[in-house]
Amino acid sequence: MTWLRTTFRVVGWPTLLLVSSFAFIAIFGSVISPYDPAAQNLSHSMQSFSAEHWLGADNLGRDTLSRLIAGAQTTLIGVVTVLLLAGTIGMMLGTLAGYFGGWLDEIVMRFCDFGFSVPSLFVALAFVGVFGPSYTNMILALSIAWVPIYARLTRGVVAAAVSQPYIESLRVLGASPARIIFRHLVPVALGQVLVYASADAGLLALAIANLSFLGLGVQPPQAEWGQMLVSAMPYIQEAPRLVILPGIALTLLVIGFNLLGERIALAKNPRAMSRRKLSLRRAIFKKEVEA
Amino acid sequence: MLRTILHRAVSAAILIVIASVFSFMIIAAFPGNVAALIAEMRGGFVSHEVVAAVAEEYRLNDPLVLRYFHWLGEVLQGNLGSSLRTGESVAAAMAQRLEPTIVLVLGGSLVTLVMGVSLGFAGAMWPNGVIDQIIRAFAVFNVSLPKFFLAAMLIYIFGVQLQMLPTFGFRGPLSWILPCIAVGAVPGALLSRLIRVGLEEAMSKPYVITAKSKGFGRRRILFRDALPNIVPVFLTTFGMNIAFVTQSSLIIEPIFSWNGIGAYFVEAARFRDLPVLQSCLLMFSILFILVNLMVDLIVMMADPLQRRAKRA
Repeated sequence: MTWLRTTFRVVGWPTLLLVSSFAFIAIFGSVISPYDPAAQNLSHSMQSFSAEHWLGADNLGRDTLSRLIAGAQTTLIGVVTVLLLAGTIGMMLGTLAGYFGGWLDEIVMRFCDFGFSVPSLFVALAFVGVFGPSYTNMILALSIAWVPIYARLTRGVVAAAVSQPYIESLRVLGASPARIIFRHLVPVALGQVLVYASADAGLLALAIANLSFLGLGVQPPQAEWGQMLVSAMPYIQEAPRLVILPGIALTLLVIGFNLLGERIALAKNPRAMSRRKLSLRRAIFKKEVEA
Repeated sequence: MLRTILHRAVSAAILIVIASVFSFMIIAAFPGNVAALIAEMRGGFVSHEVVAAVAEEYRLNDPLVLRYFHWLGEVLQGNLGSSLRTGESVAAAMAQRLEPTIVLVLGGSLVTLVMGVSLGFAGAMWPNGVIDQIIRAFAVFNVSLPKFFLAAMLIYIFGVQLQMLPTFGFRGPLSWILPCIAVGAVPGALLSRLIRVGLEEAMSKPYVITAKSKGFGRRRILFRDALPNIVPVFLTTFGMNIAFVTQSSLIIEPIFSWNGIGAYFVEAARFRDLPVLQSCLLMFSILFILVNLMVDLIVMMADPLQRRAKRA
């Protein structure tokens, strides 16, 4: 259980509580949700906070709490899928570019440069514009927009590792490129990619909400916070809670992700840590060694 | 120095070529029959003859490479095609919609600048003071704040509750205030944090101790000795900020019902208006590549260390 305690101490309980409660809501959403998030009940339309609907109901009489829970599911599944897709493709491209170098490296890096100079929202928007708005297309679009970051990151790590003596020795020993890549280079890059991904999750949650807000991501009746917010805008005068609640949910999730990413990055790179945090970590480390 | 500039310029040119290929691919990569889609959007009876005529008109039967160069030639002459939905010329429509976007980008940058610099310096002037603490909390919160939520809250507070500012349409300077704040506040918080951290780092350098021992006040040291250190960081951040603010225009323009280029792009994506989509992507990409190039060059010239390294 040491790793659990270490995680707890590195990340800190407020962040952990925030992120894990969102994860809990997303995983057990269909169990804890009081109503079907898509079920309309026009006689309850625009109902305010009540015993029946804790957080009220929207213009179509759908339960806001249930829709917020469903929105957590939509967002988190989207974030995880995009990170997996973009991370895998990016790592593949980056490893190949870093290991083989030459023209392959040149091509991959040029495309990364393009991805870096044009903000991801534009790339995603163009993709969705061509293939049509849907949840799947949004996820594909964001994955494509996010690949350059992971390709560049992996390529840097791999290119630095390739010139190290231990990789050279492996080559001399007759290890195949595949063995070197999968047994020795990918694990090195994976650590970096995971650290980066934890810092990236917040941005992705925002991107998903942005696209859905513009009507180019999640389509109704599937619930998503950005889309809930935009469809509540016409009623902002009579029912501001319909706008505020999804906004707060999204902000909290992004804060959680950002704090998590910051903490993990700090733990991985102690030099960036403040003196106070460093001494704290030394103390923890000492305790663990003694235990 | 000159070689580096040339090198950067060539890289930017290559990026622009890549951008043009990607933009071109929007029509080439369209899943399904483009000619049928265009014919359908034009309305009227869609027969095989009509589809064939459209394919002929858009040169859809030519080889890809030929089509690319033909398209590129048209673009270089300023002809971006015409919208599938309205039939109007894309270039003319873009020119018409330029004003709101320029106002938004400039206004947003101004908000960023004022907020970032004033808060950043206030924080560095009185470290760990009340302002500093507020900035720190605010920066973490603000980076996580969705732009459209901020915009919605601004509309609710200033438009609905206080009824102070217009929240709808591009109608005079008063209606510019809320959108510009919505666009500039988040990067402003980020900039203030960077300035604060950069100044703090510079304030721990030996030459600052020397200046202190000479008896100079904190304000003088901050502006004379610490300030030059953060110029490169500041310029890079501000350059990136232009990209960020322009990206925000995609979201903020539709909320406030501004007819800018950002809203044009979103509309095109919603209605699969391929020529508009293509042109917007191309124009925005070129803009970002050029801005990046400029920032790189300016930073290079502003940073004495880089200048010297390049000369050696």
